[in-house]
Amino acid sequence: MNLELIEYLKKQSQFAPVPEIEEKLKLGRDQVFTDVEALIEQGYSIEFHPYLGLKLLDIPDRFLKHEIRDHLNTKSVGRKLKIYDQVTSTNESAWEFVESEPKFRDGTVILAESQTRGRGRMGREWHSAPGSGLWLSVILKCSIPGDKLAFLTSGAALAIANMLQQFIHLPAEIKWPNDVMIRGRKVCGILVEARSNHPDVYVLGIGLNVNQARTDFPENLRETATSLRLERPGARPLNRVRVLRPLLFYLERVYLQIKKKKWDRLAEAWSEFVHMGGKQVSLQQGGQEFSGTVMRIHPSEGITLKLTGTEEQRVFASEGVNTVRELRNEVAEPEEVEP
Amino acid sequence: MDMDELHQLIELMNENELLELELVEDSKKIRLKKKYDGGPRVIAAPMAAGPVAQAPVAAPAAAAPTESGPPAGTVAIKSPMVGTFYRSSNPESPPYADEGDQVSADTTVCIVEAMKVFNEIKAEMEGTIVSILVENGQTVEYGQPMFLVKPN
Repeated sequence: MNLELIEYLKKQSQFAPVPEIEEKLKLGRDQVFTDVEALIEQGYSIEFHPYLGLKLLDIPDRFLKHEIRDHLNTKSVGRKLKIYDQVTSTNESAWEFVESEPKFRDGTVILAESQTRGRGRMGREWHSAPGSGLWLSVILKCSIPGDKLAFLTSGAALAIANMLQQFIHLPAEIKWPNDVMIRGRKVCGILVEARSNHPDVYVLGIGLNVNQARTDFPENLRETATSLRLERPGARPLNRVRVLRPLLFYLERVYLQIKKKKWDRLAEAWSEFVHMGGKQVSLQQGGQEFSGTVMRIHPSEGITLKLTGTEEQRVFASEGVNTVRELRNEVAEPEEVEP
Repeated sequence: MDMDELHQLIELMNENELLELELVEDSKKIRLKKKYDGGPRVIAAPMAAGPVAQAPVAAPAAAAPTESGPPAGTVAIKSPMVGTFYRSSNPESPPYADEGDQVSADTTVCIVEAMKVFNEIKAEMEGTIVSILVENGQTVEYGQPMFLVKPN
Protein backbone atom coordinates (compact mmCIF):
# COMPACT_ATOMS: atom_id res chain seq x y z
CA MET A 1 0.00 0.00 0.00
CA ASN A 2 1.51 3.32 -1.03
CA LEU A 3 1.00 5.30 2.18
CA GLU A 4 3.01 8.21 0.81
CA LEU A 5 0.49 8.63 -1.97
CA ILE A 6 -2.37 8.54 0.55
CA GLU A 7 -0.67 11.16 2.71
CA TYR A 8 -0.14 13.33 -0.32
CA LEU A 9 -3.77 13.09 -1.43
CA LYS A 10 -5.00 13.82 2.10
CA LYS A 11 -3.14 17.11 2.10
CA GLN A 12 -4.88 18.31 -1.05
CA SER A 13 -8.17 20.06 -0.71
CA GLN A 14 -8.80 19.80 -4.42
CA PHE A 15 -7.90 17.38 -7.20
CA ALA A 16 -4.17 16.72 -7.43
CA PRO A 17 -2.87 16.86 -11.01
CA VAL A 18 -1.19 13.59 -11.95
CA PRO A 19 2.03 15.22 -13.30
CA GLU A 20 2.48 16.92 -9.93
CA ILE A 21 2.09 13.61 -8.09
CA GLU A 22 4.63 12.04 -10.44
CA GLU A 23 7.09 14.77 -9.70
CA LYS A 24 6.57 15.10 -5.92
CA LEU A 25 6.57 11.37 -5.22
CA LYS A 26 9.07 10.45 -7.94
CA LEU A 27 6.74 7.94 -9.54
CA GLY A 28 6.17 7.03 -13.16
CA ARG A 29 2.66 7.57 -14.52
CA ASP A 30 1.97 3.82 -14.73
CA GLN A 31 3.08 3.36 -11.15
CA VAL A 32 0.74 6.10 -9.93
CA PHE A 33 -2.22 4.31 -11.48
CA THR A 34 -1.12 0.87 -10.28
CA ASP A 35 -0.86 2.26 -6.75
CA VAL A 36 -4.22 3.99 -6.99
CA GLU A 37 -5.84 0.74 -8.07
CA ALA A 38 -4.24 -1.07 -5.16
CA LEU A 39 -5.54 1.58 -2.77
CA ILE A 40 -9.04 1.35 -4.20
CA GLU A 41 -8.86 -2.39 -3.68
CA GLN A 42 -8.06 -1.72 -0.01
CA GLY A 43 -11.25 0.28 0.26
CA TYR A 44 -10.03 3.83 -0.40
CA SER A 45 -12.43 5.90 -2.38
CA ILE A 46 -10.45 7.88 -4.96
CA GLU A 47 -11.89 9.86 -7.81
CA PHE A 48 -10.04 10.26 -11.10
CA HIS A 49 -10.72 13.11 -13.43
CA PRO A 50 -8.90 12.93 -16.79
CA TYR A 51 -8.17 16.62 -16.73
CA LEU A 52 -7.95 17.56 -13.04
CA GLY A 53 -6.27 14.44 -11.65
CA LEU A 54 -6.87 12.49 -8.43
CA LYS A 55 -8.89 13.21 -5.34
CA LEU A 56 -9.29 11.19 -2.14
CA LEU A 57 -12.98 10.99 -1.26
CA ASP A 58 -12.94 8.70 1.76
CA ILE A 59 -10.78 6.32 3.71
CA PRO A 60 -11.78 2.64 3.92
CA ASP A 61 -14.39 1.60 6.44
CA ARG A 62 -11.88 -0.92 7.71
CA PHE A 63 -9.60 -1.10 10.71
CA LEU A 64 -6.29 -0.08 9.17
CA LYS A 65 -3.83 0.86 11.88
CA HIS A 66 -2.33 3.81 10.06
CA GLU A 67 -5.79 5.28 9.45
CA ILE A 68 -6.96 4.81 13.04
CA ARG A 69 -3.80 6.49 14.30
CA ASP A 70 -4.08 9.35 11.83
CA HIS A 71 -5.26 12.36 13.85
CA LEU A 72 -5.83 10.15 16.88
CA ASN A 73 -5.43 12.63 19.67
CA THR A 74 -4.67 10.30 22.58
CA LYS A 75 -1.63 9.42 24.68
CA SER A 76 -2.55 5.96 25.93
CA VAL A 77 -5.93 4.70 24.73
CA GLY A 78 -5.50 3.15 21.29
CA ARG A 79 -1.78 3.88 20.93
CA LYS A 80 -1.31 0.12 20.82
CA LEU A 81 -3.82 -1.62 18.58
CA LYS A 82 -4.54 -5.29 18.01
CA ILE A 83 -6.86 -5.85 15.09
CA TYR A 84 -8.62 -9.09 14.23
CA ASP A 85 -11.01 -10.19 11.52
CA GLN A 86 -12.99 -12.44 13.78
CA VAL A 87 -12.79 -13.28 17.47
CA THR A 88 -15.10 -15.03 19.92
CA SER A 89 -15.28 -11.78 21.84
CA THR A 90 -12.87 -8.88 22.08
CA ASN A 91 -12.91 -9.15 25.89
CA GLU A 92 -11.75 -12.74 25.56
CA SER A 93 -8.94 -11.72 23.19
CA ALA A 94 -8.00 -8.91 25.54
CA TRP A 95 -7.50 -11.37 28.40
CA GLU A 96 -5.48 -13.66 26.16
CA PHE A 97 -3.31 -10.67 25.36
CA VAL A 98 -2.90 -9.82 29.05
CA GLU A 99 -1.89 -13.42 29.77
CA SER A 100 0.61 -13.58 26.92
CA GLU A 101 2.14 -10.12 27.33
CA PRO A 102 2.53 -9.28 30.99
CA LYS A 103 4.08 -5.93 30.04
CA PHE A 104 1.18 -4.85 27.88
CA ARG A 105 0.68 -1.16 27.35
CA ASP A 106 -1.97 0.62 29.40
CA GLY A 107 -4.76 1.58 27.00
CA THR A 108 -4.15 -1.21 24.49
CA VAL A 109 -7.19 -1.60 22.25
CA ILE A 110 -8.43 -4.87 20.78
CA LEU A 111 -10.66 -4.42 17.73
CA ALA A 112 -12.49 -6.98 15.64
CA GLU A 113 -14.54 -6.83 12.46
CA SER A 114 -16.83 -9.45 13.93
CA GLN A 115 -17.43 -11.45 17.09
CA THR A 116 -18.86 -14.93 17.09
CA ARG A 117 -19.81 -14.85 20.75
CA GLY A 118 -20.05 -11.24 21.81
CA ARG A 119 -21.07 -11.02 25.43
CA GLY A 120 -23.06 -8.59 27.46
CA ARG A 121 -23.60 -8.41 31.16
CA MET A 122 -24.38 -11.76 32.75
CA GLY A 123 -23.22 -13.54 29.62
CA ARG A 124 -26.11 -12.20 27.62
CA GLU A 125 -25.44 -12.54 23.95
CA TRP A 126 -24.46 -9.39 22.10
CA HIS A 127 -25.34 -9.49 18.45
CA SER A 128 -22.34 -8.30 16.46
CA ALA A 129 -22.77 -8.62 12.72
CA PRO A 130 -19.53 -8.38 10.70
CA GLY A 131 -18.44 -4.93 9.62
CA SER A 132 -21.47 -3.15 11.02
CA GLY A 133 -20.28 -1.89 14.35
CA LEU A 134 -17.42 -1.14 16.66
CA TRP A 135 -16.58 -4.12 18.82
CA LEU A 136 -13.63 -3.30 20.97
CA SER A 137 -11.98 -3.81 24.31
CA VAL A 138 -9.67 -1.42 26.08
CA ILE A 139 -7.16 -2.90 28.51
CA LEU A 140 -6.61 -0.63 31.47
CA LYS A 141 -3.94 -0.91 34.10
CA CYS A 142 -4.60 1.32 37.05
CA SER A 143 -5.38 1.14 40.71
CA ILE A 144 -8.93 2.21 41.55
CA PRO A 145 -10.38 2.22 45.07
CA GLY A 146 -12.85 -0.62 45.51
CA ASP A 147 -15.74 1.70 46.27
CA LYS A 148 -15.15 3.65 43.04
CA LEU A 149 -15.04 0.75 40.59
CA ALA A 150 -18.48 1.64 39.30
CA PHE A 151 -16.87 4.63 37.61
CA LEU A 152 -15.34 2.30 35.04
CA THR A 153 -18.69 1.28 33.61
CA SER A 154 -20.39 4.62 34.10
CA GLY A 155 -17.31 6.48 32.90
CA ALA A 156 -17.32 4.51 29.67
CA ALA A 157 -21.04 5.17 29.25
CA LEU A 158 -20.38 8.86 29.83
CA ALA A 159 -17.57 8.94 27.24
CA ILE A 160 -19.73 7.25 24.62
CA ALA A 161 -22.79 9.38 25.30
CA ASN A 162 -20.67 12.52 25.16
CA MET A 163 -19.06 11.49 21.90
CA LEU A 164 -22.42 10.64 20.30
CA GLN A 165 -23.88 13.95 21.37
CA GLN A 166 -20.99 16.24 20.53
CA PHE A 167 -19.52 14.47 17.55
CA ILE A 168 -22.40 12.74 15.81
CA HIS A 169 -25.09 15.08 17.13
CA LEU A 170 -27.41 12.38 18.37
CA PRO A 171 -29.49 12.64 21.56
CA ALA A 172 -27.69 10.05 23.69
CA GLU A 173 -28.95 8.92 27.06
CA ILE A 174 -27.48 6.57 29.63
CA LYS A 175 -29.74 3.84 30.87
CA TRP A 176 -28.58 2.90 34.31
CA PRO A 177 -26.27 1.17 34.81
CA ASN A 178 -24.46 0.54 31.55
CA ASP A 179 -26.39 0.97 28.34
CA VAL A 180 -26.29 3.90 26.00
CA MET A 181 -29.60 4.65 24.33
CA ILE A 182 -30.84 6.85 21.52
CA ARG A 183 -34.54 7.70 21.51
CA GLY A 184 -35.26 4.83 23.86
CA ARG A 185 -33.38 2.19 21.91
CA LYS A 186 -30.10 0.59 22.88
CA VAL A 187 -27.16 1.52 20.69
CA CYS A 188 -24.24 0.52 22.89
CA GLY A 189 -23.44 -1.95 25.63
CA ILE A 190 -20.54 -2.00 28.06
CA LEU A 191 -19.00 -4.89 29.96
CA VAL A 192 -16.14 -4.38 32.40
CA GLU A 193 -14.25 -7.45 33.57
CA ALA A 194 -11.49 -8.16 36.04
CA ARG A 195 -9.64 -11.31 37.04
CA SER A 196 -8.44 -12.16 40.49
CA ASN A 197 -5.01 -13.22 39.21
CA HIS A 198 -4.45 -9.84 37.51
CA PRO A 199 -4.94 -7.14 40.12
CA ASP A 200 -5.45 -3.61 38.82
CA VAL A 201 -6.16 -4.81 35.28
CA TYR A 202 -9.57 -4.06 33.83
CA VAL A 203 -10.92 -4.99 30.43
CA LEU A 204 -13.49 -2.53 29.21
CA GLY A 205 -15.59 -4.07 26.45
CA ILE A 206 -17.71 -1.89 24.21
CA GLY A 207 -20.18 -2.85 21.54
CA LEU A 208 -21.44 0.10 19.54
CA ASN A 209 -23.92 -0.43 16.73
CA VAL A 210 -22.94 1.80 13.83
CA ASN A 211 -24.27 0.81 10.43
CA GLN A 212 -26.87 -1.87 10.98
CA ALA A 213 -30.13 -1.60 9.08
CA ARG A 214 -33.27 -2.58 10.95
CA THR A 215 -33.26 -6.01 9.30
CA ASP A 216 -29.65 -6.66 10.33
CA PHE A 217 -30.87 -7.18 13.89
CA PRO A 218 -32.45 -10.46 14.87
CA GLU A 219 -36.22 -10.12 15.02
CA ASN A 220 -36.38 -10.16 18.80
CA LEU A 221 -34.12 -7.10 19.00
CA ARG A 222 -35.65 -4.93 16.30
CA GLU A 223 -37.85 -2.99 18.68
CA THR A 224 -35.22 -2.44 21.36
CA ALA A 225 -31.93 -2.07 19.48
CA THR A 226 -30.75 0.61 17.12
CA SER A 227 -27.65 1.80 15.30
CA LEU A 228 -26.16 5.23 14.71
CA ARG A 229 -27.12 4.97 11.06
CA LEU A 230 -30.77 4.28 11.85
CA GLU A 231 -30.90 7.32 14.08
CA ARG A 232 -29.22 9.68 11.64
CA PRO A 233 -31.19 11.91 9.29
CA GLY A 234 -31.60 10.00 6.04
CA ALA A 235 -30.14 6.89 7.71
CA ARG A 236 -26.75 7.75 6.25
CA PRO A 237 -24.01 5.22 7.09
CA LEU A 238 -20.87 6.32 8.89
CA ASN A 239 -17.27 5.36 8.37
CA ARG A 240 -16.49 3.36 11.51
CA VAL A 241 -12.90 4.62 11.68
CA ARG A 242 -14.24 8.16 11.87
CA VAL A 243 -16.41 7.13 14.82
CA LEU A 244 -13.66 5.13 16.47
CA ARG A 245 -11.13 7.96 16.72
CA PRO A 246 -13.32 10.33 18.72
CA LEU A 247 -14.58 7.38 20.76
CA LEU A 248 -11.01 6.57 21.85
CA PHE A 249 -10.38 10.23 22.54
CA TYR A 250 -13.45 10.60 24.78
CA LEU A 251 -12.61 7.35 26.55
CA GLU A 252 -9.14 8.61 27.34
CA ARG A 253 -10.53 11.87 28.69
CA VAL A 254 -12.70 9.97 31.16
CA TYR A 255 -9.88 7.57 31.97
CA LEU A 256 -7.60 10.47 32.89
CA GLN A 257 -10.29 11.85 35.19
CA ILE A 258 -10.63 8.45 36.84
CA LYS A 259 -6.87 8.34 37.35
CA LYS A 260 -7.01 11.83 38.86
CA LYS A 261 -9.91 10.74 41.08
CA LYS A 262 -12.28 13.44 39.82
CA TRP A 263 -15.25 11.50 41.15
CA ASP A 264 -17.59 14.43 41.72
CA ARG A 265 -17.04 15.87 38.29
CA LEU A 266 -17.53 12.48 36.65
CA ALA A 267 -20.66 11.75 38.68
CA GLU A 268 -22.17 15.07 37.76
CA ALA A 269 -21.43 14.74 34.04
CA TRP A 270 -22.75 11.19 34.09
CA SER A 271 -25.99 12.04 35.88
CA GLU A 272 -26.78 14.63 33.22
CA PHE A 273 -27.12 11.79 30.74
CA VAL A 274 -29.16 9.55 32.98
CA HIS A 275 -32.41 11.54 32.81
CA MET A 276 -33.92 9.79 35.78
CA GLY A 277 -34.27 12.54 38.35
CA GLY A 278 -37.87 13.06 39.43
CA LYS A 279 -39.12 9.99 37.61
CA GLN A 280 -41.33 7.32 39.11
CA VAL A 281 -39.53 4.02 39.10
CA SER A 282 -39.66 0.61 40.62
CA LEU A 283 -36.72 -1.58 41.43
CA GLN A 284 -36.05 -4.93 43.00
CA GLN A 285 -33.61 -5.50 45.78
CA GLY A 286 -33.25 -8.63 47.85
CA GLY A 287 -36.37 -10.09 46.25
CA GLN A 288 -38.44 -7.12 47.38
CA GLU A 289 -39.95 -4.54 45.10
CA PHE A 290 -39.76 -0.85 45.89
CA SER A 291 -41.22 2.07 44.04
CA GLY A 292 -40.76 5.75 44.41
CA THR A 293 -39.49 9.00 42.95
CA VAL A 294 -35.82 9.25 42.02
CA MET A 295 -34.25 11.95 44.18
CA ARG A 296 -30.64 11.32 43.25
CA ILE A 297 -28.61 8.88 41.19
CA HIS A 298 -24.88 8.39 41.51
CA PRO A 299 -22.49 5.97 39.75
CA SER A 300 -21.07 4.41 42.90
CA GLU A 301 -23.40 5.52 45.67
CA GLY A 302 -26.57 4.17 44.14
CA ILE A 303 -30.03 5.52 43.74
CA THR A 304 -32.08 7.48 46.27
CA LEU A 305 -35.84 7.00 46.14
CA LYS A 306 -38.58 8.82 47.96
CA LEU A 307 -40.73 5.79 48.55
CA THR A 308 -44.24 5.99 47.16
CA GLY A 309 -46.87 6.95 49.70
CA THR A 310 -44.34 7.88 52.37
CA GLU A 311 -41.95 10.66 53.19
CA GLU A 312 -39.12 8.18 53.57
CA GLN A 313 -36.04 8.58 51.43
CA ARG A 314 -34.05 5.45 51.00
CA VAL A 315 -30.70 4.86 49.32
CA PHE A 316 -30.34 1.70 47.30
CA ALA A 317 -26.78 0.63 46.67
CA SER A 318 -26.31 -0.36 43.06
CA GLU A 319 -25.22 -3.77 44.30
CA GLY A 320 -27.98 -6.26 43.86
CA VAL A 321 -30.18 -3.86 41.90
CA ASN A 322 -30.08 -4.86 38.28
CA THR A 323 -32.98 -3.16 36.65
CA VAL A 324 -34.79 0.01 37.38
CA ARG A 325 -38.12 0.14 35.64
CA GLU A 326 -39.78 3.41 34.87
CA LEU A 327 -43.43 3.47 35.78
CA ARG A 328 -44.94 5.15 32.79
CA ASN A 329 -48.59 4.78 33.62
CA GLU A 330 -48.51 6.16 37.10
CA VAL A 331 -48.67 9.89 37.17
CA ALA A 332 -47.46 11.29 40.41
CA GLU A 333 -45.99 14.67 39.65
CA PRO A 334 -48.41 17.08 37.99
CA GLU A 335 -45.71 18.50 35.73
CA GLU A 336 -45.23 15.11 34.16
CA VAL A 337 -48.73 15.00 32.72
CA GLU A 338 -48.64 14.96 28.95
CA PRO A 339 -50.56 17.88 27.49
CA MET B 1 -1.58 10.87 68.03
CA ASP B 2 -0.43 8.81 71.00
CA MET B 3 -0.78 5.12 71.72
CA ASP B 4 -3.88 5.63 73.85
CA GLU B 5 -5.73 7.22 71.01
CA LEU B 6 -4.58 4.47 68.71
CA HIS B 7 -5.90 1.88 71.11
CA GLN B 8 -9.20 3.70 71.22
CA LEU B 9 -9.41 3.50 67.46
CA ILE B 10 -8.71 -0.21 67.53
CA GLU B 11 -11.41 -0.62 70.20
CA LEU B 12 -13.77 1.29 67.96
CA MET B 13 -12.99 -1.05 65.08
CA ASN B 14 -13.55 -4.11 67.22
CA GLU B 15 -16.81 -2.83 68.64
CA ASN B 16 -18.20 -2.11 65.23
CA GLU B 17 -16.62 -5.09 63.54
CA LEU B 18 -14.80 -2.88 61.09
CA LEU B 19 -12.08 -4.29 58.88
CA GLU B 20 -10.67 -0.98 57.80
CA LEU B 21 -10.52 2.51 59.21
CA GLU B 22 -8.99 5.60 57.73
CA LEU B 23 -8.54 8.87 59.56
CA VAL B 24 -7.25 12.07 58.04
CA GLU B 25 -6.29 14.83 60.45
CA ASP B 26 -4.49 17.92 59.23
CA SER B 27 -1.38 16.56 57.59
CA LYS B 28 -1.62 13.17 59.26
CA LYS B 29 -3.28 10.14 57.81
CA ILE B 30 -3.84 6.95 59.72
CA ARG B 31 -5.06 3.80 58.12
CA LEU B 32 -5.83 0.70 60.14
CA LYS B 33 -6.62 -2.53 58.43
CA LYS B 34 -7.39 -5.85 60.02
CA LYS B 35 -6.55 -9.03 58.26
CA TYR B 36 -9.75 -10.89 57.88
CA ASP B 37 -9.54 -14.10 59.87
CA GLY B 38 -12.73 -15.80 58.77
CA GLY B 39 -14.00 -15.10 62.26
CA PRO B 40 -17.40 -14.51 63.73
CA ARG B 41 -18.22 -11.74 61.29
CA VAL B 42 -18.77 -14.26 58.50
CA ILE B 43 -22.38 -14.54 57.62
CA ALA B 44 -21.83 -17.75 55.74
CA ALA B 45 -19.98 -19.55 58.51
CA PRO B 46 -23.03 -21.13 60.12
CA MET B 47 -24.28 -22.21 56.72
CA ALA B 48 -20.90 -23.59 55.84
CA ALA B 49 -20.98 -25.80 58.86
CA GLY B 50 -23.72 -27.96 57.41
CA PRO B 51 -22.28 -29.22 54.16
CA VAL B 52 -18.77 -29.23 55.54
CA ALA B 53 -19.68 -31.60 58.31
CA GLN B 54 -20.87 -34.12 55.75
CA ALA B 55 -17.86 -33.75 53.54
CA PRO B 56 -15.54 -36.72 53.76
CA VAL B 57 -12.46 -34.63 54.47
CA ALA B 58 -14.00 -33.27 57.62
CA ALA B 59 -14.25 -36.77 59.07
CA PRO B 60 -11.68 -36.53 61.88
CA ALA B 61 -13.56 -35.38 64.94
CA ALA B 62 -10.76 -33.00 65.85
CA ALA B 63 -11.47 -31.08 62.70
CA ALA B 64 -15.05 -30.30 63.64
CA PRO B 65 -15.82 -27.09 61.84
CA THR B 66 -15.38 -24.12 64.04
CA GLU B 67 -16.13 -20.58 63.20
CA SER B 68 -12.52 -19.60 63.14
CA GLY B 69 -11.51 -21.19 59.88
CA PRO B 70 -12.03 -23.91 57.34
CA PRO B 71 -12.01 -27.52 58.53
CA ALA B 72 -8.68 -29.29 58.70
CA GLY B 73 -7.36 -30.46 55.38
CA THR B 74 -9.25 -27.84 53.42
CA VAL B 75 -8.51 -24.33 52.30
CA ALA B 76 -11.14 -21.72 51.56
CA ILE B 77 -11.31 -19.66 48.40
CA LYS B 78 -12.39 -16.31 49.79
CA SER B 79 -14.09 -13.43 48.11
CA PRO B 80 -11.63 -10.61 47.47
CA MET B 81 -14.45 -8.06 47.62
CA VAL B 82 -18.03 -7.31 48.55
CA GLY B 83 -20.26 -8.28 45.69
CA THR B 84 -22.73 -10.67 44.15
CA PHE B 85 -21.67 -14.28 43.71
CA TYR B 86 -22.39 -16.05 40.43
CA ARG B 87 -21.51 -19.62 39.70
CA SER B 88 -21.66 -19.34 35.91
CA SER B 89 -21.20 -16.72 33.24
CA ASN B 90 -24.93 -16.69 32.53
CA PRO B 91 -28.08 -18.41 33.80
CA GLU B 92 -28.06 -20.92 30.93
CA SER B 93 -24.50 -22.11 31.09
CA PRO B 94 -23.13 -24.75 33.43
CA PRO B 95 -21.36 -23.59 36.59
CA TYR B 96 -17.64 -22.89 36.39
CA ALA B 97 -16.93 -25.32 39.20
CA ASP B 98 -18.84 -28.05 40.98
CA GLU B 99 -18.24 -30.14 44.05
CA GLY B 100 -15.73 -32.85 43.23
CA ASP B 101 -14.12 -30.84 40.42
CA GLN B 102 -10.36 -30.66 40.11
CA VAL B 103 -9.09 -27.10 40.00
CA SER B 104 -5.69 -25.61 39.28
CA ALA B 105 -4.28 -22.16 39.93
CA ASP B 106 -5.92 -20.48 36.96
CA THR B 107 -9.23 -22.32 36.93
CA THR B 108 -12.09 -19.86 37.12
CA VAL B 109 -14.39 -20.91 39.95
CA CYS B 110 -16.97 -18.13 39.99
CA ILE B 111 -17.73 -14.52 39.23
CA VAL B 112 -18.17 -11.85 41.86
CA GLU B 113 -19.88 -8.77 40.51
CA ALA B 114 -18.90 -5.66 42.39
CA MET B 115 -19.86 -2.20 41.24
CA LYS B 116 -20.74 -3.45 37.77
CA VAL B 117 -17.30 -4.97 37.31
CA PHE B 118 -17.42 -8.69 36.66
CA ASN B 119 -14.56 -10.31 38.51
CA GLU B 120 -13.54 -13.77 37.47
CA ILE B 121 -12.22 -15.48 40.56
CA LYS B 122 -9.43 -17.99 40.03
CA ALA B 123 -8.84 -20.93 42.36
CA GLU B 124 -5.21 -19.89 42.84
CA MET B 125 -4.45 -23.35 44.22
CA GLU B 126 -4.52 -26.92 43.07
CA GLY B 127 -6.98 -29.34 44.53
CA THR B 128 -10.51 -30.72 44.64
CA ILE B 129 -13.57 -28.65 45.44
CA VAL B 130 -15.14 -30.14 48.51
CA SER B 131 -18.03 -27.80 48.99
CA ILE B 132 -19.60 -24.63 47.74
CA LEU B 133 -20.61 -22.35 50.56
CA VAL B 134 -22.57 -19.66 48.76
CA GLU B 135 -25.78 -19.70 46.75
CA ASN B 136 -25.89 -18.32 43.22
CA GLY B 137 -26.88 -14.65 43.30
CA GLN B 138 -26.10 -14.23 46.98
CA THR B 139 -24.15 -11.26 48.30
CA VAL B 140 -20.68 -12.10 49.58
CA GLU B 141 -18.63 -10.10 52.04
CA TYR B 142 -14.98 -9.21 51.79
CA GLY B 143 -12.99 -12.29 52.82
CA GLN B 144 -16.03 -14.55 52.99
CA PRO B 145 -15.20 -18.17 52.17
CA MET B 146 -16.96 -19.25 48.97
CA PHE B 147 -15.46 -22.66 48.27
CA LEU B 148 -13.64 -25.25 50.32
CA VAL B 149 -10.83 -26.95 48.47
CA LYS B 150 -8.85 -29.99 49.48
CA PRO B 151 -5.39 -29.19 48.20
CA ASN B 152 -3.52 -31.85 46.22
